[in-house]
Amino acid sequence: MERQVDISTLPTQTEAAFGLILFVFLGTLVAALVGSSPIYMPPIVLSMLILPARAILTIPDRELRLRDEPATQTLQTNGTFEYLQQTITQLAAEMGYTKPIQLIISRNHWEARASGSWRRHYILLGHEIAQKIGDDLKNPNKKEKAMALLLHEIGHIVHRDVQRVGYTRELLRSCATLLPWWAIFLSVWLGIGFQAGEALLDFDIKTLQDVDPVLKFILAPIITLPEAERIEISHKLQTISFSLLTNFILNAFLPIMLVGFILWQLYWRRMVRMQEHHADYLASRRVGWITLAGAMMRYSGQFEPVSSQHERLVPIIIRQRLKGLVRPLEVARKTAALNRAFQLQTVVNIPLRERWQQWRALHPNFYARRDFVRDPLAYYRAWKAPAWSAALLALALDLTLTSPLIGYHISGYPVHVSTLAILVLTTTWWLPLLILKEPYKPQLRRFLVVVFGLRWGWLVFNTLWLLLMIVLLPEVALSFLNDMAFAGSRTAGIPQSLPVTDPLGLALSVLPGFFGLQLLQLAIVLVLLVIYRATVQRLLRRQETNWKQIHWILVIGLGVVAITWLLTPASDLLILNSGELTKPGHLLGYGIGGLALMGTWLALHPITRKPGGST
Amino acid sequence: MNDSLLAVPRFLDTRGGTLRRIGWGVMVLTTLTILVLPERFDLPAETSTSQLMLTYIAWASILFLFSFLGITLLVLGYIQFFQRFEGILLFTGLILLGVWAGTWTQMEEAAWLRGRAQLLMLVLGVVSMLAIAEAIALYLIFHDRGIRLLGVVLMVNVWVLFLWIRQVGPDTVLIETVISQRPLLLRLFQSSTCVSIWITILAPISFIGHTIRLLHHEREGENEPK
Repeated sequence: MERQVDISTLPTQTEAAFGLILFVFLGTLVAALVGSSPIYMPPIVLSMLILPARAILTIPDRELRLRDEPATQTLQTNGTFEYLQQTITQLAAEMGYTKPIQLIISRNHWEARASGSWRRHYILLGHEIAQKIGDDLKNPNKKEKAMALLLHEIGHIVHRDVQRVGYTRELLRSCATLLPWWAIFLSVWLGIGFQAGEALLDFDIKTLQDVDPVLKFILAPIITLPEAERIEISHKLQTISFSLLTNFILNAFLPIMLVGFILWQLYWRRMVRMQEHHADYLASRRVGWITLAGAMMRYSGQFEPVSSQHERLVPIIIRQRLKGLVRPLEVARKTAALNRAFQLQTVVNIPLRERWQQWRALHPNFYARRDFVRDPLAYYRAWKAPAWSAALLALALDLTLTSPLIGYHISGYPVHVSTLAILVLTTTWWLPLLILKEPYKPQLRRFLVVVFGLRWGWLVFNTLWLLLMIVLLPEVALSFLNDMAFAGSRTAGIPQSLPVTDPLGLALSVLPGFFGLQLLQLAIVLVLLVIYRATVQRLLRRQETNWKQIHWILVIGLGVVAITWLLTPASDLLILNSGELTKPGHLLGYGIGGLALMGTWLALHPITRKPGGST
Repeated sequence: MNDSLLAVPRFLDTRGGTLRRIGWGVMVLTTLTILVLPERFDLPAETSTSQLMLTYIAWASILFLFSFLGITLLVLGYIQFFQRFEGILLFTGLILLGVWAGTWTQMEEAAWLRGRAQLLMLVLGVVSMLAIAEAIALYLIFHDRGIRLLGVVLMVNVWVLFLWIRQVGPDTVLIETVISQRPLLLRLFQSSTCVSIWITILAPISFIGHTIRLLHHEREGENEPK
């Protein structure tokens, strides 16, 4: 009997990416609060923690504020609003979603999208499309298509896209906007302090000429510094290096800013596109993929990216008007494309231009959507897209860790997070193939080649670049390495001596251990994948269905054990620092690893005993 | 398009006309008191300096209080205007006029008019210093933009200070900051300083207030459009 799987019960790449991005970025921020720091970190960390989450909270109010009141009243009067609201509630209940979803009539007449916050969920429909769906729902020939559109939007809410994808966007955007603000503000502020510090200490109001004595008498106690403060300022001016302070700010913020910006501009859009596929899939489960395809043709404008709620209303209106002028052409183009896309052909030559545009697109093209809803597992069988996205994300997250904010704590362990990321992303892609007992070896091999190839390629490139710099520009290399060392040690005091005096010697002593650690990482990932496969196969024999939960328990458990029991001691030994092995922090780590192993076993054991349904 | 977060209270909508009429009335009457001031402050033999000063301070206080009351009534009367950013700009302009009037030493041929006009502008400048707080507060009540405003204000100020120090040196900046060669009162009127100070005070309050409001809505799981 052919085994089938409902992919909505499986972990998604978006979930995995969300968890990893959250872990690395929030972990970095929390780590910034621990240990010494040349600048006061709490305001920066708090703003980065609070503002992205708060941005999600503001969405519902904005949507409600910008709704189309007259259109809402019109639709309420003719009964369409109530009918749509009831249909949405009923369809959500059919999908097992019991929380209320509110319909909002938006000012953009042709949009259809899901929105909301952590606990408030909305479906926004423009006036025209709401009326069209309302009419279609009453027409037996078009009812299913109208339901498909509503189911697609409900699917976004069921998958918590607003929370996960929305929060990821806000977090990454904060890295690219808020952190540069802090970096510039702090640098200029410190510049003022260092420029005016001496003058402030020397300033004495009593010595000023041409000033009213009464004014002097009044102002003197206000502006004269207390002795303790004077000593503190004087001490800081004499012992702190302004260049090392700015060096720390640059090194601490730049990796997070750059990686945040790149992920926001590229990877986050992929997360959105993946969730479109999953929303399509959820809708197609109810109405069938052919009806969904028909809905995409009938409501083609609504299955395309709509204007973000952050955009102002006036540009939206202007754009709509301009679009209206060229609508006949646009409709003809779109219809032709859709007809091509939904021809029942297996292979379609997707135009190269359209493929390239997908890098920046917020929605997948119709070809990709059609392929996914027809055969979701084809995405998993085709390893290229998941492999490259996993490789880029794992590398990007690893680059974030070069920030001294977290590098200060994990300087000896540069492979831990990437090991976890590779494990999580690989197994999330691999699981459906394992469950369906599909052939996976060539795909898995290529997947790992891409992931490790990109990582090692990057490391080798950096190593060669460093060695070349040491040989050709020794002064620059010395300065660069010392800057890194000062930033990494989170100090800005005027140094008595340089931490790095022999760059070549240092590089040659560190690099063998570092590359040994990379090989060890590969071995550990392979071992973990073998354990993962064995566990999944054992659970398959027991007719297990709750794969999402099993996957996360297994991956997190294995990851923690590998990090604490294998990678940490191995890192200590490879960098010839065996004294670290018995330090209290490491002993605590071994304990956590033991607990994780026990917890994984206990968590999976009762699951295997549950009466399972058919897979 | 009105993209305010909150609806204007019904009271202000229905009584807006009355508030505007009273506000303008108070402003006109208050302004007219300038005309009853004597042209010269020659001391009668039986009047001491302190008595005259007390009289003058009492009159200035009344003028100030009534002007502030009038402006407050006008702000509330024209609340649709003052919940927008233009409200802040209007008072910023008035403060600038006050600063300009303070340094107005020409026009000797119309000294009598100049004196009173200068006094009126000064009073409006001083009142605007407080009224701008009302405008900023109203703007931040109706728009959740406290953090953005604070970010812009802090960044602008820190750069201005930095470039000023680079231009004239830290000693001069310190002296200018603490004891300006210009009159202290007028320097405080500097519109940018005034706006910055009020935004620095009010923006965090607005941010916290709106956050509490948002959390409350979220806790309620508010799904009924208001």
